[in-house]
Amino acid sequence: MMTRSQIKVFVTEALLLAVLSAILIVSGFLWSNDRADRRLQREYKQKFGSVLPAESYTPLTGKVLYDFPEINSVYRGYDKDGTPIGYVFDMTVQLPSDKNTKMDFRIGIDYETSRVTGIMCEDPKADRRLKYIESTLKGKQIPIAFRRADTTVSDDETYAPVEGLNDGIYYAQRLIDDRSKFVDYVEMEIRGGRITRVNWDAFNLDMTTEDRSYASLSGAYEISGLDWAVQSYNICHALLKLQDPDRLAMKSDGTTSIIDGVTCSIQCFVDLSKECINNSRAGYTKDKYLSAITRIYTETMGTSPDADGVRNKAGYIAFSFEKTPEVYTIYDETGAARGYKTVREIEAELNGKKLKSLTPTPTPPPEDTPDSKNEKRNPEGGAEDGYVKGSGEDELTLSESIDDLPMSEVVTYIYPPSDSYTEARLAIRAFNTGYKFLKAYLNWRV
Amino acid sequence: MSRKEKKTLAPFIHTEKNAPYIYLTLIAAMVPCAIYGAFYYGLRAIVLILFCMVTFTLSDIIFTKIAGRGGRGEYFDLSSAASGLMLALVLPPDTSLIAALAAVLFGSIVTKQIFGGPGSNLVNPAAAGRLFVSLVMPSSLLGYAEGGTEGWFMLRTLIFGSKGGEFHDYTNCSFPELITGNFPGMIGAACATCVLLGGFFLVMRGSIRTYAPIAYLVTLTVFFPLSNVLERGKGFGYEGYVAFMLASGVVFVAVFMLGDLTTMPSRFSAGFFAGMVCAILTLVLRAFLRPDTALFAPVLSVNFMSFVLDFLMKTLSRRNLRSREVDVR
Repeated sequence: MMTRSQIKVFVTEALLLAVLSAILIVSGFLWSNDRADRRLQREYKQKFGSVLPAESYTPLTGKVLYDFPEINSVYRGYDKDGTPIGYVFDMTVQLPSDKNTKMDFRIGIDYETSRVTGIMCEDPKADRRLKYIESTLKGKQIPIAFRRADTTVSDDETYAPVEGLNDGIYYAQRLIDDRSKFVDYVEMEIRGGRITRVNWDAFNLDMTTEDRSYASLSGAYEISGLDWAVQSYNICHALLKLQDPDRLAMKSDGTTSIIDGVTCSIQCFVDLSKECINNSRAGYTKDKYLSAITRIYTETMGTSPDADGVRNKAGYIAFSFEKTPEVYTIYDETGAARGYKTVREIEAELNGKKLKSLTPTPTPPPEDTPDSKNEKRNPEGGAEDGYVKGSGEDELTLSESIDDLPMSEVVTYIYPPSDSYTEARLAIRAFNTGYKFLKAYLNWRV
Repeated sequence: MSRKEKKTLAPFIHTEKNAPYIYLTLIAAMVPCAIYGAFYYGLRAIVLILFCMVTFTLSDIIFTKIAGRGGRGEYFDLSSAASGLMLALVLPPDTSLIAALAAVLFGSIVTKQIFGGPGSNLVNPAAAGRLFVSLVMPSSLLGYAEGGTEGWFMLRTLIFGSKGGEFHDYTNCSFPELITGNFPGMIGAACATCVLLGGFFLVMRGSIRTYAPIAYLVTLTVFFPLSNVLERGKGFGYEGYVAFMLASGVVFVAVFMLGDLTTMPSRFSAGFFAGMVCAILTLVLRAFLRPDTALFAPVLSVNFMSFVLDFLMKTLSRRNLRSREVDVR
């Protein structure tokens, strides 16, 4: 046994050792930390420079990262001034249909526009095959899906009209009001397959209140920047020029920076414009739309809108369905809201046509029809590829999904390469997973 | 002897260097490494260290009671706490508590209790526990995070573990980073300065056998070029030698595992031979296995052969003696 004096000596020596080591550790840290930072940034640049050239990178942390098992790590890139310029994802992606097919990717996504800045693969052979994908996707906005080969799209995206539009006047309105009790609507006229007239406005649930454009001009409705009516005009004019809502370059916060004088959120306009375009493709005119919404109101409330006095002078149903969310909300199997139905979808449901989007179920294997031959080219087939089906009324784009994302959110479509389908599919999955992460991490509104 | 008679240590052992003293010295020697881990990796490292020490001790006590073995105060010798601390120091900082618990239970029950408790274990419990987890839960031991103040208060990894990662390439690190441990490494084994400080303390207190560690480090130095050829296909040279010696954890293994009084040979020649074998195995396995597996598997190998080596060396040293008396040299 140790004597008391021996214990004292031992304790003194141990304490001295601890103090000495603490001094060494702290001074060592101060001595080497600059070098460690430089080394770390050098390593990051070496790893991520090809997908997102940035001056410095910092890793992102947070609980949401654990909700995405395919993502190994995420970094935010900064320029020389310390302004964020994008995100880099390091991920191991596997095919939904074949868990054994995996690939390690590094992908870059632009900070402002969520456009693809680069992609690389750990496997050098696959990386060479991905060059086609990279050249196709670079500069495109996420999320991404494959386009079917028999649909035609102009490669030069300068103001080419959206394909498949039927001439006529089309209309879409929100089924719920905003905080000022305004219900947004978009009216669109198509002639010769092009958008020739667009009007974005909102009527009020209180019929004595003037429409939003008039209210903004009279000073009753104020937003930052230009009057709302002017901004609405500018965005409508831009759509006439660009011909496609996706080209408005809406950012994650719902705004756009490519149209002068537009500072308000254009999320609602983009959504309603897309709905009008889908209606046009399906030949679902304004008259059909208004009679459908009248029917939805009648079936939901048990009385007609005219009896309840909710039809305004312009003939629109000035009513908010927010107290009956089951009418317009798409729920997944867990009961969580997954998105919103359009009026056309709700009507189809009332007609007894169970659209796939309304009841999310596993996509059946492609049937042996001439039309499915193209889908059989690839090992996966079916909706998980994100193949866009035809534009018939019952074959809505929304009826499919890719990587658990509704097709209505998909912004970019590409042709699947015939020689490296698997790599391309995995790459698309990587970008869509990155999109889902950013959506959750940054609380993006869709 | 009546059943009520008190069991005590044999009265003829009169030394200040009893088991509690040796383990207390070992713990004190590992304190610099623990301080390093706490400073660089923050709360999660502190929690992991305390968790391993407490669970290792509890596991030992509970298993002893279940087995109906053990006398009162058996685990006040601090061997359990020392093993728990050593195990925590060789874990990556972003290890989950589940992975740490698996390592603790394997080290405590399988390598220590099943063989008879403290002082009877054939292999180092910390090395065995660490190796066990790296073999059965390999993805849980990839949390080699950068140190620093940014993640000091992060505790999430204790539950979720690491998102996966990779072993760091230490050859990119500058000498100041390597000598101070300012790179992604194990909680306490990355800072060679702290380990050597602890080793110095052990030598000063006489609680270490130095011949196996010295043989290990010398052999590593001599045969390092062989590793370069095997692992990287590079030429016969010392490229990356400093980074390997300072960053791979071999100094920690040398000081705290190969200097162990229980699991390493007690004779000079046997210990020296064991150190050499351990070093050669480490260099060869590096080319084929994960770095952490290549680091700890050789320790267990020489632990297993240590009693055979001791016996062999003793027999060799007595081969010219006719007497069957105990060799007291």
